[in-house]
Amino acid sequence: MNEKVLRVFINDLKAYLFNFRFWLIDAGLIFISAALIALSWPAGREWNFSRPITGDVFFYGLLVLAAVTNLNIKNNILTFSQVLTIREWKSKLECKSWPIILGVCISAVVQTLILIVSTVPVGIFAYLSGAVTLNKLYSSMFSIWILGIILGWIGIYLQNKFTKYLKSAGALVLLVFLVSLLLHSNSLGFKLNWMFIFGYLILAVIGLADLKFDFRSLLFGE
Amino acid sequence: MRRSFVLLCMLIVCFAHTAAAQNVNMSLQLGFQDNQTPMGWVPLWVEISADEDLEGEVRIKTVHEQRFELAEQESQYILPVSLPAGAVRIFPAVIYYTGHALTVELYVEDRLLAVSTTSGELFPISDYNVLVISSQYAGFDFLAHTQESKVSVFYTTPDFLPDEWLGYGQIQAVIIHKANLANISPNQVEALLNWLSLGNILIWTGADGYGFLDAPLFRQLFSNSITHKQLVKFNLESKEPSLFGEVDALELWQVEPDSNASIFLKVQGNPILVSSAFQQGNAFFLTFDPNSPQLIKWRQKGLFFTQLFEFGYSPLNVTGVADGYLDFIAVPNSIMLPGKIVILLVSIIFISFVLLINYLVISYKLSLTKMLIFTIMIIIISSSLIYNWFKPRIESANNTLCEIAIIQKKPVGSRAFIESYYIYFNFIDTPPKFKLQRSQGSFTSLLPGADDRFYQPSYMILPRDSTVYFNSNQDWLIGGFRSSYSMDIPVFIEYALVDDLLKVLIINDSPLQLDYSVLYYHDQWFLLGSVEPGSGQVFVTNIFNQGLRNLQQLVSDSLEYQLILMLHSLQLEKSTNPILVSIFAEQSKIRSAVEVNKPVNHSILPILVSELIIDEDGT
Repeated sequence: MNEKVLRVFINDLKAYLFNFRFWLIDAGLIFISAALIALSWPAGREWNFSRPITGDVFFYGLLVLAAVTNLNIKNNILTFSQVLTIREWKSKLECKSWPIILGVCISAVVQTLILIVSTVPVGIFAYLSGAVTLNKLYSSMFSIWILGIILGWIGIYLQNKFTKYLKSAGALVLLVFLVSLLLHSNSLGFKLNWMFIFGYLILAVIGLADLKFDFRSLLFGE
Repeated sequence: MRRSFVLLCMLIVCFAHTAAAQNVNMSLQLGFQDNQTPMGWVPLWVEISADEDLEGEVRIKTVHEQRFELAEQESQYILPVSLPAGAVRIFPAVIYYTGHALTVELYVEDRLLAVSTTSGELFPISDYNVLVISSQYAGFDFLAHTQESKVSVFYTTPDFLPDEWLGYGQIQAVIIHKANLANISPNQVEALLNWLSLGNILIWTGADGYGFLDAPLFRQLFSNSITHKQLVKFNLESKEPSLFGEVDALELWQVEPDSNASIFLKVQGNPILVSSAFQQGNAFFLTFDPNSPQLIKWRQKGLFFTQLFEFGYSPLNVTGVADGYLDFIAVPNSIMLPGKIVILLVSIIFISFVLLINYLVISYKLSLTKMLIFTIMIIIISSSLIYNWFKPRIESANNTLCEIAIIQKKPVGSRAFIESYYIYFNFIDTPPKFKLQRSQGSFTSLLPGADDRFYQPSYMILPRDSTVYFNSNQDWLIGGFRSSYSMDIPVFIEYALVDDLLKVLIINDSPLQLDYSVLYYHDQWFLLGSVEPGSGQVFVTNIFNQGLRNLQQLVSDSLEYQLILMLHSLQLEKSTNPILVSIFAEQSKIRSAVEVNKPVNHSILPILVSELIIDEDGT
């Protein structure tokens, strides 16, 4: 890995993980997931041939939580402490923007992974309620992780491009995400549409490309 | 140039191979003669010829109509086929036919080679469906014109006899007339005997020559009691009423008494009818040819045959009656999961550990690597503890098979026709395969619309053993299927009507507890009682007194109430005879005909249904 990419990646990751607020956000994510499972928990009921809704409640809840955390909460709470923006990194390292963007993006991948994987012990409850198989549990969490990464990248874009309007821009993107999630979800159980993920990936790539090329100045000049 | 020539040669070889492989012919025959068939279990013959060696499978797709909706659903039977190059072979199958056109596809390694469709001409419901096995497709149409009963007549030849008893599923009587059964396969003989043992009627006419009567099936039923044929003259002046009216002479087979067969009817000292009981069924041998020119004046021929049919036992039409009630009747294993508070507490402990460890890491300024290792370790240890703590609790509920067996049998004899309904429940392992010996019966899907939540079998394989299996990709499988089979249930019922009192003796030679028995008569219920395993119990009840209109007054349990609803759908009210319904103890350890290739919690709820036929004079 390029030395600069690695440096940006490690420093960005440290800036997040060594901030105790990150772990409070993680604890909140786990607790809300656990609360959702407890709410839909089939306890005290005679076991019969109907599938508990625990699995679907957990997955959809985790998906929304991953979106909210990566798009909004994480950026709003942790920005302007030790987390540097791309412009700040550029002036610090005096290099092109792509190693910085790449390092920040890889850092977002690891952060999202930690957030999602830390809900596995709670997800085991969903499996033990009989609502999902282990395969379904892991594959669904993998899908949520991928979508979380993409939303994290969109969050990075918003953080760098819409610093002043971060809250409202993040809330708008989140609203669009929730509406599109509502439209594509089905009643037959949790199943993410890969076209839906692909659509958000395109958005994230366009955003990251804009960070590097600054389309507005390319199209309309400085 | 050389390369182009090689390519051209390869193309020619490929085309030649494809052309040769596709030279396959497939034709179908559904039901008996001219695709005429009653609805239900019917035989299907698939004739295949191929120029090359063929190793593949035939997929028989039947369409069911939803009971309550107009949507359709498909069942698929798989029949493995193989035949050498240049051969023509007929593959028999027995399928559940619902009246929709069948699509039959021949596949070799998932490559479709041939498609054929067929549909049968469905017959209206008759009192008797009679199958005539004869090399001549005629001679018994007079039965369809009898005034006494509605009779439908079907013809077939010995080559097209089913090799599973279910193939005769819709037939109440078989007539063998001028047919050489000496060369039919042992499976075909076994199928015919199994069908007969359930209480059906087989009539063998004396039109056949000695060579035909030397068939193993004939010997098994009537031993060596038939000797030679002789012209017998009847005395028309005799005071003894003659069966044949004005017929003065008839060629008759001469009969010697035998341990297997007994002379059932004589005319002026000449044996006319030989009978042989085969378990609950009755086989008759007519010592004469009913279509003989000498009997042209015999006007009572139709009545004579329909009276013989009445010796048979027609089970009630139970197909699919429990499909709609499975959800209520099936009793899965119940487990008690820990409460919601426990879930929250365990989660809070886990969260506390995550926060504590990371707080310490941040406070002591440890490295990023150590932080990641500690966090991952907490996640792995917590997941493992939670998994191992809970898993034993849920394992007991996994792999559960609930079977509801509706057993129909004659009061005498032990052979019973059973229609079983299954729910299979699984959420951890891959589902097992279910097997049923083909000689005993076969599987089929539930009626569509039984319950949308029941996943229907992916495939039903027909050769040798009938096998059902489900698509293993299902992460939560609630499979529903059905089987029809015959087996011995040693519960015997003796009864007599004396001065309005019906005395019923139930002898329970089975190892099962009969929880309670009830009688249904003229829309009223009468409670009898329970019978211990290996004992007999006499119950006396006045069936002409006021009984109970609603069995719910007798049985309060909602499960049993659902059973009664289900039994109502057997259309018991149509019967003019009392019907005994015995419900075995829940979770009875009855030996099931179904084998499973891995351990499952198999619970069976058997329900015995038996019609107690009372003559018109009340005896």
